[in-house]
Amino acid sequence: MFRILTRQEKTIILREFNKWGIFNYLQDKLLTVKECENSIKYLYLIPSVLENFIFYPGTYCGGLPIGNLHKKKFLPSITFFDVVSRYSKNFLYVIVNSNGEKLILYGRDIFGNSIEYASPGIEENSIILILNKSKEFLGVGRSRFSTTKIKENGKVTINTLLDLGTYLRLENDRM
Amino acid sequence: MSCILFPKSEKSNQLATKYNFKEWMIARYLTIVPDTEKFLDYINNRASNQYIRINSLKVDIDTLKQKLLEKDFKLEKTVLSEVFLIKESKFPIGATMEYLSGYYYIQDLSSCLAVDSLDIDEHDVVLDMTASPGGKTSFMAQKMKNRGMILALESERKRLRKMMFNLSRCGVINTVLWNLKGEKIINYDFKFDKVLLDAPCSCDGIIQKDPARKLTYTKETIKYCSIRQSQLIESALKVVKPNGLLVYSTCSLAPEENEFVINSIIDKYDITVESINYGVDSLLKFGDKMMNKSIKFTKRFYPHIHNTAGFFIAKIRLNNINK
Repeated sequence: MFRILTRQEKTIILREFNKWGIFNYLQDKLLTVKECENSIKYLYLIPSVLENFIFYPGTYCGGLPIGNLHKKKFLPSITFFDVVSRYSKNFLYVIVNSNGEKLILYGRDIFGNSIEYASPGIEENSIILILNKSKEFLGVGRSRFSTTKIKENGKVTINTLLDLGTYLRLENDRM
Repeated sequence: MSCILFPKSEKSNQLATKYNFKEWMIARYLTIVPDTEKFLDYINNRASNQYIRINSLKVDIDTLKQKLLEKDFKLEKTVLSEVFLIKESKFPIGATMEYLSGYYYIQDLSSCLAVDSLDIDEHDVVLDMTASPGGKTSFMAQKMKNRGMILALESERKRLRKMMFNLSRCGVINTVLWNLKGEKIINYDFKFDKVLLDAPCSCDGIIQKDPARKLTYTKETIKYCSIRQSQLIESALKVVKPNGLLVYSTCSLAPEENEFVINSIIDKYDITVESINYGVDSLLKFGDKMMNKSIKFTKRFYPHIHNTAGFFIAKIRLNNINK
């Protein structure tokens, strides 16, 4: 069953939207949560006008699935980062070459020699967006090195966490 | 409605043997499908056409067209500005970065024409009664520019997850998905400007894509589907607002699932069957059964004539209150 977020849950999520520079994207939208038996809370962002349809027992999903909330920790989805890539200017990123683009779509990690550009400010363990040469969103990773060393040859320098292929791979998982 | 059968003939026997169909199916096709042998030849010996619909919720149409051309895709325009026929591609079209990004959706032109027939307005409240896997739903959201509201219903739980990912990949935000049988929408107090009923059907219109359906296609399937379709369309008519539109479609060639279903509601409800700009006129007679004259406004699509799946579309406007 869907419900609106508690004050505490809302604080956690708003902080994340703010951190990733997409606070304004929330305008005219409503944050909702679906609690499942496995104690994971699935978060959906819906236009406010959809409120009429969402709070019914048979509702499976609505709007954008932006991630999960588990023990007060927000775990963003690939859709959340897709929104970040399109609406925010406030994120760390790397641009990969066409070979890197192919590999990441299969969930593979990124080698330093696939990286053509790295934005300033990346540190070890930063969460960074991975873009192609046209600055299109491909996925999200965790850096193993800072901006200055991330292009190092022959080494995995970014561990891929989520990629566009996730959409297809998750389709067949149970929820 | 039981499946209507026709006497077998030398011709039906010869075609059934040549194209590996059940003979009773061929005997029916000889009555239903214009230029039947060409049709059988076409669906047996050619791969089905692949179409993509460019998703303007995520990308500008010209930008993506250019990008695909640079990747050596050969595209051909169709009657819909968003939809292109893939003439040639070096990569499988379901494995490109652009597909995974939701820039395009692989969808037959006929399915897109069903959505196009709904004349969707940005601020409409729309019901998709049998929504999975979500191709038509996401095209509706695209036409609505993610505004308005769509309620999508899907009764099979195992299909919901795939649909959710399809919608989110395509950037659809104006849709709520319910796990509910289409017929049961009448138990809720909602009325809709537009309703799409892409009814579950016997699917002989997609034999070209899935030849195994030649074997699984039975008379009982036609009967079962036509009963279910009649129940669904009656429910649909009860939730359309006065002056609202219902589009009914199937990927079946069986008149029992198409013309007969529409014919059965014409006298029962105050409705107008409106004309559609594409396809060929539907059947006004099948076996001994005569249809209402307005059935000619519903349209049929054939693979060998329209380069689409075998398809049927009816556009129905609810004039006033139910009789």
